[in-house]
Amino acid sequence: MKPLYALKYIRSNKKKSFSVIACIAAAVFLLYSFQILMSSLHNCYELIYGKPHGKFSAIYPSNNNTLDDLLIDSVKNHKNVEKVIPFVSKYTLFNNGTMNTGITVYSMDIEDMNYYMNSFHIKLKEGRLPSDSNDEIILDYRLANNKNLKLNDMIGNEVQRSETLKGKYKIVGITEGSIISALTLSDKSLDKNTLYKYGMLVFPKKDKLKEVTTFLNTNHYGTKVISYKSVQEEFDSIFDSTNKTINILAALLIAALSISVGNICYVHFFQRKKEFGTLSALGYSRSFLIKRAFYEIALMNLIGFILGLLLSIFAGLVLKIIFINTAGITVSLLLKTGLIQCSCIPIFTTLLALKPINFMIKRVDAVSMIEGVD
Amino acid sequence: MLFECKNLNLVYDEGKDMQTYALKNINLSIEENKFIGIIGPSGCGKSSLLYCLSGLKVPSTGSAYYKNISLKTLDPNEKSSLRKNEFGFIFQKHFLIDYMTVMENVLAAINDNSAESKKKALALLERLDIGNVADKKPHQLSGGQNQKVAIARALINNPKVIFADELTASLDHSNAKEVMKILEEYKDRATIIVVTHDEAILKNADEVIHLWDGSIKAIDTRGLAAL
Repeated sequence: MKPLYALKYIRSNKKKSFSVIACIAAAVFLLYSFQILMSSLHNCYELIYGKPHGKFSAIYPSNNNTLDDLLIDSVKNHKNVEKVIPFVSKYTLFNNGTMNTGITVYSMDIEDMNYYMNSFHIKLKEGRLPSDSNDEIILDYRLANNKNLKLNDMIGNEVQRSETLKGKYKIVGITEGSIISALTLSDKSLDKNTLYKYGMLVFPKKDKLKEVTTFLNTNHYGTKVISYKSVQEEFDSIFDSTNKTINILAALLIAALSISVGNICYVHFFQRKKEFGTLSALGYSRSFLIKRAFYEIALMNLIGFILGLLLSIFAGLVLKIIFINTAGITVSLLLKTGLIQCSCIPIFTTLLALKPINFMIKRVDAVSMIEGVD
Repeated sequence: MLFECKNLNLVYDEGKDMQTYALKNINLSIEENKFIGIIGPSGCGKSSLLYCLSGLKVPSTGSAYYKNISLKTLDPNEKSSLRKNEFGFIFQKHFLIDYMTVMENVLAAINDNSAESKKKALALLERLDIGNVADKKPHQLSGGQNQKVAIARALINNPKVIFADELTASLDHSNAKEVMKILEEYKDRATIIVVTHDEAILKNADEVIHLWDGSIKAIDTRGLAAL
């Protein structure tokens, strides 16, 4: 290694370099870990709400009314509607790691259940589909894991006080698919035409989601429509404020780090004024000295960035293994946005730390140093 | 001529009420491969003359020429390049880099760690009788040993001119004699300019410039021994 190589200084001055590296690593760790957590929550919402409503809209009667027959007919006969599934809904809770979120449990007939399952590539992992009995339920494996339930266990507020799902159901099947779902058979005492009055899942024809959503949202007094659009709006209201918080946090972190790391670097370089003066007297140009300072600071920042990233990925991995995977939440460890945001930390810190050092090196006069520094 | 000074003046606090002339109307010529001594009492301008000759300081008026090129006309990068490639510096204080080993300090002047350069650095250290401390850090050495490292650093780039400012100040008499003997070995390939107040180390000098209060009092071309 050449004597004036940037890594040489870092290796020879581990304690001094550590303070800069540790600051950057801690900031990257904090920011990237937060991004991993937010991304997991986003994935969770996507699996529960986003993806299902990307294929259907749900229409309910508002208050305790039932859906109007004319509306039911107009939906069923609409040119852009491929399939209408009548359902009765209940709900259970899913813990996403930070809070509980509701999952709709749809009750429908077996034929519609098959259509629903095919639409989301839902397959049985274990067990069977509900048979004639309407007190049987099939759960997605992530939901089962989240609730710490397995095949043949019982679920419902009659067996667990904390459970929100009304009644008592036996888990006869564990499923896996592109969404997190829970399905039961509808009450046989209700004929299908009556069932339509309680709610409808409206599957549009290919590429007609927008048209059907517009149709459902237009002039249907006394109904509540949950569409892809309304879900996305809810997503945005939740995640926009969180994203803003992250961005403010990132900006504050970058500003605080730039000042503190900049000061640490300036103090380190000020202590090395003699070294730079000597090198200047020996014939190293100012641009060489500034370049050398830049490489040293950039390298320390890069090491801190990589260290912080590895630590947060490791923490995410641990979280995934010991908690989130078993709780049914998907964890993404490599996040483009997170990487871009975190890479701003070393970039800004390096550039801002270099400014006072550049100023100092420009003012380093070899002769004053030789004459005046002990 | 290797060096020439024409009406060179160096004024500190220029433009202020109290101006100090560090160098006054210096005119001199220095030939190649000579051993030149600059002698005089403290504050007479010895070091200032050395800095003007090496381009580290810009004269207030007049010029210093190196190989007929006025140092004033060179931009900072050209001056740096000149110092790096053609000059070697030994200062009164060693100014070694504390986190580097002796070997790295010597090689820092050329920023090269090739086997060839290492071999050359080790040969220089051995010649200065400090080959055994090549892997030690400056704080582990005595003042004299550190000064010898600084001498090795000044010689590593095969300089055409060696500038030495009070280089024996931190050495005892026998070490000072030995160091001067080594420097004098370079006389056939480099010009050696030594600033000192110790007349004893200039006994073999080809020329001795006597400075007094910023002016040249006398130039003795026969060496001090002949005075």
